[in-house]
Amino acid sequence: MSSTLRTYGRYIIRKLGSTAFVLVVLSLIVFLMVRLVPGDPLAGYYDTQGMPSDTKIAALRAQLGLDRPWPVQYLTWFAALFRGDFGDSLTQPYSVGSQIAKRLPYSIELSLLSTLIAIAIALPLGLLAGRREGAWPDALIRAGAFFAISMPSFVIGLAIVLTNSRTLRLRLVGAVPFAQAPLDNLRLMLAPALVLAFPFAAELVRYLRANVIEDLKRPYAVTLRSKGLTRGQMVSRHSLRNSLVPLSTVVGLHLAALVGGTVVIENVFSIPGMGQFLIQSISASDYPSVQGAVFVIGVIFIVMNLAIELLYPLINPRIGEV
Amino acid sequence: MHIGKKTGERTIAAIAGLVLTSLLVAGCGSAGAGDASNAAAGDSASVQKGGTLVWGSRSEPGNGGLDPYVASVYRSTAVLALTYETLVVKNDSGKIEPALATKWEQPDATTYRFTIRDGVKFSDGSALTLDDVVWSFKHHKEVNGAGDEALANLKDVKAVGDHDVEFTFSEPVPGFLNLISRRTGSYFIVKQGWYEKADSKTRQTKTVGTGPFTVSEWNHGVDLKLVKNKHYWEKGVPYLDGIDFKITGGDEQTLLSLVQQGSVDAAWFWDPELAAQAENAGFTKGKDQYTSARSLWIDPNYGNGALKDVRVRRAISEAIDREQLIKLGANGVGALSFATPPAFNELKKPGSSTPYYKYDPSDAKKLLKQAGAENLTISVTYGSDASSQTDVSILQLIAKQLSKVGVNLKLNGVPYSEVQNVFTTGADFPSELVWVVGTKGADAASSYHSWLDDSGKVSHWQGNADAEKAKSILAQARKESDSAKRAKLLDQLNEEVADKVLILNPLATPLDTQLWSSKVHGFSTDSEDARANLKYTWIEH
Amino acid sequence: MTEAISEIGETRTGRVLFDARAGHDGDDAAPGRALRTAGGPRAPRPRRRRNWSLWIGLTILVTVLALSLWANVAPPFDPYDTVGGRLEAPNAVHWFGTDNIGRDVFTRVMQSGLLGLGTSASAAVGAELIGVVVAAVAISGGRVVQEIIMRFADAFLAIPGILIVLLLRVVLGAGTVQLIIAMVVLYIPSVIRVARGAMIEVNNSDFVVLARQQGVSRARIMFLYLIPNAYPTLLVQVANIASRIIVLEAALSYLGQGIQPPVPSAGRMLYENQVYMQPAPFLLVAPALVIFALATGWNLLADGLQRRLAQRKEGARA
Repeated sequence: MSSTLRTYGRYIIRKLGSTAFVLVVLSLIVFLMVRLVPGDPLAGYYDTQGMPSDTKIAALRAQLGLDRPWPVQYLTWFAALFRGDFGDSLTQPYSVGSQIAKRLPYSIELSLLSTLIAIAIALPLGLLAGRREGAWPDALIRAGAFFAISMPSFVIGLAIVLTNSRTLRLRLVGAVPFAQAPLDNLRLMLAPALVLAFPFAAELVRYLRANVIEDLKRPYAVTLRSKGLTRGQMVSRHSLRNSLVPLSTVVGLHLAALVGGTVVIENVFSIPGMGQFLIQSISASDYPSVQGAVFVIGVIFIVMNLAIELLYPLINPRIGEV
Repeated sequence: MHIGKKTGERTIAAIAGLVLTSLLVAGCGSAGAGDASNAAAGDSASVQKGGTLVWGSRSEPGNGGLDPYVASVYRSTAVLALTYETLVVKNDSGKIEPALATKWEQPDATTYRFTIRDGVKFSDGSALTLDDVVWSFKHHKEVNGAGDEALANLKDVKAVGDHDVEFTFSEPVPGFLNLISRRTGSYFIVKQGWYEKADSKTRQTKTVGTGPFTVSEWNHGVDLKLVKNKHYWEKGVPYLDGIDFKITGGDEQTLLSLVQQGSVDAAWFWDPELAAQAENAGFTKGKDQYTSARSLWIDPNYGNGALKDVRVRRAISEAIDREQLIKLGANGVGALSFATPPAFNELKKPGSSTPYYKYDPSDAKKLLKQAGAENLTISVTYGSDASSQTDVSILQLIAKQLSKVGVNLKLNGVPYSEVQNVFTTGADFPSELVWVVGTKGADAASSYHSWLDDSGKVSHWQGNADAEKAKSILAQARKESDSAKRAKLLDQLNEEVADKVLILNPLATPLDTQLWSSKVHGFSTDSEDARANLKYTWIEH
Repeated sequence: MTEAISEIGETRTGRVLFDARAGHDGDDAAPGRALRTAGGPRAPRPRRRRNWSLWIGLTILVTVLALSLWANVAPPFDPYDTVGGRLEAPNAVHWFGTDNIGRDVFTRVMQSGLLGLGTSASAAVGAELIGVVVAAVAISGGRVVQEIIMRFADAFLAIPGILIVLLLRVVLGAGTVQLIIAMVVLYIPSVIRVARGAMIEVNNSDFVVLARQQGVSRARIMFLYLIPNAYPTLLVQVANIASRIIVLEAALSYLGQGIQPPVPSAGRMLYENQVYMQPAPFLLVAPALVIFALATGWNLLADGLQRRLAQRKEGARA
């Protein structure tokens, strides 16, 4: 047992080390990618009738720190990250950190909500499809899954918004902070979460189905079946449980990816989350904002991955069998 | 704000239903009738004071936020115009009217004297002093240096007596009153004591001005809240307690949804098509102000210099079917335009007699043949993320029209920040043509300043013989103090520029479209789209 | 216990199959499978069903290709010209109606299929080719090289795909070729991970070890053994990535950064016509169908290929 612990300890250290390395690489990639963008953050200060004078331009440039070489800018930025300081926006009067703090909750909430909905849809359908492999419910569910995966979610979102404006005219678009009005907040989040949940649920359905089918082919299952258990009983008593651990892994990973994957839907439903923040910052060439936001999203993804990898040996009962 | 419990449950059930039927329903049927019923009612009713107007907007103030000395994009200045004031303003017919100054005179060609209104207070309750006025202009000049259009030649500005402020210039500045009267410009009167003490973040997020409203709160990407300036000098106004600008961000389609949901009392759209749909939903549309000349700026020296030849430029101008652009591309909401948009009422409007404005593809082909440019390929750069559907449609139409005379026009869509480089840094054009969405400047001559003048940042006409005459007319107009004569010179300039095709002006459209619900009274658009009438606006509640 | 750890190591492969960008490879390659590679041999399949996915997928793609080719070679109308009124509803002349500047939507929609197929296929194949070589280099290059390459891939995969493409669009420019390059870059890390998973087994097999001992060069081993072995798995991934690209391009177009006008592209048409969603919803249906058809076609193809692969493996095992 102690050797098991030691192995697990070594495993943890290795994972932590490589994760730290990945984070540094991430910061570098993010910084350089953003730096390659040719736009001038100063550009957004003017329109055709408000042409800047040279005096004004030079003053702004110095004030924004754009006159320093980029490696200096990178190191400054990276060092500040450790203090939790993402720097100030180049174009708007706010600190990047405060904006992220305001917007991240929307994206996380949206992701969590859509994950819950996706699981609620996927569990019954996936199990049913697996149990009735090849039969009509299976065919129907699989066709539905293909549809949900193949249709861009914003198309579905637009269709919902459009239909609503013509018929029920419910309040679907916009967002209210959760702390301010939790119920209104949830109501407004429901439609976008649902739209995001579709493709997610479809993936989960396909995944669960495959798991159930495979589980039913295992030797133990064949034995139990020969003892008179029906497929339905098998699924509800055994396959479901056997699928939950790997399912939770998949859900966790997908959830992590979702936090940054809500860009387009935020646009459709006008939710002031990370996605809108990023799009606006990119079009304004606001380097610190883009860097900060992409980095945070990347970190969430990587840390979730790490957590799953570290927890996996602990929660997977099969480790004990080996 | 709160949806009742029952409604909430209905929402959930309804969303589930919607999801299933949306795609099918989206494909068929025509738009619902909307609630246009009570649009006209109540306008004669007596004013109801108080209440907050919710105004939907896709954009929030741009770079520089609300700092009156830094921000200069319309998205910012349209808010600044509600919170800060200028000495004088221009009314819709182009006449200068009192604002913070009650009287003004020009004792000689280089001196202006303004009498400042008594009893004016800033939104923090402190009194406006002559020193604030003097400082505001001095600081403006300091920030903008030699590039300051109105103040570059300012020798001195000082308080005279207890009521007056006097400006002296080293040479005449005929556009002076025009420039400083622009509501969405930058010649605002700012409280010196506040501005100098505030850090840059405060300057950009708060306002201390003499305008009818003042900023109370700005949540980026969510909303911008204005409250009424309790100390406003004009008695009895504003009627509203406040204005909430609700920011939808991203897509303007969502703004339309807000209008249709009834979540906003008023809205402004960049996209005329969506504005028309909002009108269908029962909103009143403001008068279309053709303030935005949609132009193609030309770099004659780009690449192998194909556009150096005036015949080629004339051919292109003739090959553009402007009527079709207005009818199809702008859905009828457009007008012929010079570099100065038609909203400058003091100037002549273009017509069929304007040189090379009439659609004439056969003459265009002839000109191209003479110039030996029968298979010409040129590009136009435009901001693909910032352009409305109207812009993109117009560009595609132009490309097709030009292809009919053998000119291959490539559309080069790039992020708008890249196009903007051209204006800020004076970077080279990324192609022969650049698509520019203009706004109405303070002074008609400023429509020419940046791209024609040799001192202009974007000018690519230096040393080009075709532009000499236009430049000399412009220089004359700049010095002319008599406004009638000045207008005449600018008319002449417009004709000359059209004849030499120094810029291509396919059409002008409104820059934005403002709409309001039947609950909103007393509002109308102004020729600057500055929402100046919001102080006389009231809302049923 | 070391066994167990190596199995955990396999979760990486499991994650590959489920990274948000590449999606996962159809039913039979569900991540659970990868997680359970150490599991015992499975019972042979009782029956072999017809591979419907494969055939339906192929049929959809070939139909789109054929229709689109026809529309490109002999277009019913000039796709760039004003050939009808503004926002005409579908009628006998203009089957799918006309857009706001009077262009025939049917012609444009039909033509867009070719572009969609072309960009998705070429970007997917491009990513595959480059990714495979990088993965092979990683495997042949020793621990350190492998570690660095894989961590870079990890870091890259942590950034949402649409953001990478958006940034690359700004960096590279707005053309169609640039779009393809951006997509290639986006999917290389996913390919690296899948390809590495597929190759690593071969790399440790007896004959490769033997070949190495006999002095066969690294490059030869790479091209003779590693890459050919990975090829079936990667074929599945090509189809999978292609379907993702179709959906991603539509999303990019929606943000105004997809294929640029005036070239007819389904995603672009969705974007351009969305402001007419209320007065003329028919303008959105046709392009949405094209996107849907292409994405479904690729998805089914991937699914079918995966199934065929699994069948073949089982056949070999039996």
